[in-house]
Amino acid sequence: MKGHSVFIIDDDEAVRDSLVTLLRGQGVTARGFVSGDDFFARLPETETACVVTDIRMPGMDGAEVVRRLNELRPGAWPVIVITGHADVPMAVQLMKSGVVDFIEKPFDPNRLFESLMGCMGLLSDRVSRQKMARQAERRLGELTPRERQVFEALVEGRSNKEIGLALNISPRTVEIFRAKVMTKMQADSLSALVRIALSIRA
Amino acid sequence: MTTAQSYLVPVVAVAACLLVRHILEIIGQFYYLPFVPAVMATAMFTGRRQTAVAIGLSIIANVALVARLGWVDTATNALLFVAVSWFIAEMCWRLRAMQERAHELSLRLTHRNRMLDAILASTPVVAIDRDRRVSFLTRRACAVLGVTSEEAMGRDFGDYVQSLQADWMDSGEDAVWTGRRPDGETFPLSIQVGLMPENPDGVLATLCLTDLSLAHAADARARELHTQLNRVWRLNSLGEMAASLAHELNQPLTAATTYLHASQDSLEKVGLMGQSAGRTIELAKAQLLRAGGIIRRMRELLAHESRSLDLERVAAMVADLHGVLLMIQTDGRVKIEIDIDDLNDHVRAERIQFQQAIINLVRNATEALEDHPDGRIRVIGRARSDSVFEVRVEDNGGGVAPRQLEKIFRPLTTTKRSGMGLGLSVTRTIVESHGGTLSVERSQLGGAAFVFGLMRERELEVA
Repeated sequence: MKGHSVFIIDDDEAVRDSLVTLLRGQGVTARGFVSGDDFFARLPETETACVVTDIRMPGMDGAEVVRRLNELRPGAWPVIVITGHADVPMAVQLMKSGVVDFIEKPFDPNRLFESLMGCMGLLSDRVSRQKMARQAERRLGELTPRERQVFEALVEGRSNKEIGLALNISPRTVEIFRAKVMTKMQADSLSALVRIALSIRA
Repeated sequence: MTTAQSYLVPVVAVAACLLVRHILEIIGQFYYLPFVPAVMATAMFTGRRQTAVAIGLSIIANVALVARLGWVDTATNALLFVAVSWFIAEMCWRLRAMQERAHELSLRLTHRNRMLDAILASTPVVAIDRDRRVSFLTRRACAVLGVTSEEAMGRDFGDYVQSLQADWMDSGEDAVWTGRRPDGETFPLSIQVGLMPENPDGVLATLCLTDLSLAHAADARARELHTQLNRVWRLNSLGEMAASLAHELNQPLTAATTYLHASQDSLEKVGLMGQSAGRTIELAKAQLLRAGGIIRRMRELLAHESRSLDLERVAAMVADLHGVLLMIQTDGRVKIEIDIDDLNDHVRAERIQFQQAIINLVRNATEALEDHPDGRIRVIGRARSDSVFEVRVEDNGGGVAPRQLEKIFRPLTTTKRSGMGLGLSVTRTIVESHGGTLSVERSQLGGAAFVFGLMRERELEVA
């Protein structure tokens, strides 16, 4: 649960305060906002966070918050919607617009925890993936142009012989470059190398 | 008779008189007297010129036929004849004019009589004498009183009206009485009195009767409909209110549940000591969630009946409200204008709920315009995009103060002297169940404008 902030947007003072109290009790960094406008006006400078928002609020409503968050940080901030006024079409519409979960008030706080755990998991996954991608990119930068050519050919699934023909070098030389690429990219097998290549492209 | 022919009259008349005079010569001497009838006849049938001709011819004939003492005698006689015969002719003309006038008057009188007869035949009128006895009554009056003319003639008019007081006619004003037909049936009867205090033939007054039972029945029906309508609106509002309140109750329930959970967490840290308290709190939490469940079921029950959005046309739905809006317009002394784009107004909506929302907004506007001398309300409908049809209810009242903006949609808050403060909250619930949001803006008329969107339905428009 720890590590990521949770932002709570609800116009109801008691709901907001109780949720913040609960989450802080669990050691989660939590902050409350009165409205969507308030949230975007004081938008916290955090890379990743979970957002829990009400739907019906004066001014900017929950659906609008979801829409603007998607524009601002596409996919980076998972949103959980809590509402006392739920109906199926609304839920479907929100789910379509990328909301992670939809919880009807009043709810068992455990239900919210489960959902938040899911969000945190998503975030952690995303963070570790991003870390990996950044590492791989750095390593890719260390390759010489020739090694880069060999790397790209390898992840396309070509054989040593094909690469040799294409680059006009002997299969034996290809073998040497291949070993260098594997070491520099810290990949212990071809499949690991392909995974790294994919993480960069993603 | 042409002019030429009319000149024959004096000639013939004078000739005839000449002949008569000639015959009378046997008896004695005649001068001008035999020509008088010629002049009279000419005057009776023709005009002045012809009469002058007759007089002239008579003089010539006389001068030619009778020998006179001298020219003085001749001239004097001629002049005397002219004076006398002209006077007679004048009398003749007067007589003729009077005859013509009498004829014309009698024609007019006949016409008037016919008209009076027609009016009387179509109006229930009763004439009564000084003893309040019926001296005349029209066919219509017979129908109103349920009697035949023979039965009613000479009877006391009080027989047909319940508790007719002695001085009932003195004020001369129209009044409503209870009429009583011979078969015992009673009915509301309006009597208009026309008094004739100095009438020699004994008739004192004419009474114009009107049977008000039809008008009263229509009135009662309108009142009944009004009450029914109000009841339906109120019931409908009640459902919406419950839904709205249910939503509001969920907020404190959520907060309470969460607080309890937080205290459970704290108690766990205490260790064994807190376990029993933690279990009790768990039970309390379960009860709160149960309350939430009850509210949810109630809302589902309410929503069950109304949550079906059909294909509707905004203009038609608003047109249905014509009667109600008219009522509001008269009661609130405001002017309500409707301006709906009726070409692109196919939407998904629940008719009754939509109408309820419009009425709520219009009522609100009317109340906001309470002290406004020239209150105006506009209901505008426009297609805003391919998917949204915007409905706007605006007024020229004071508008919504910025600091009230956040509060007005909350249930149980109101800026009015009377009212529960549920109207806007209910309206918002309705709008949201239609997939839109209710917002408030400044209106073009200067007051507040409440705006919401409906989902447009276009596939069926093409089909």
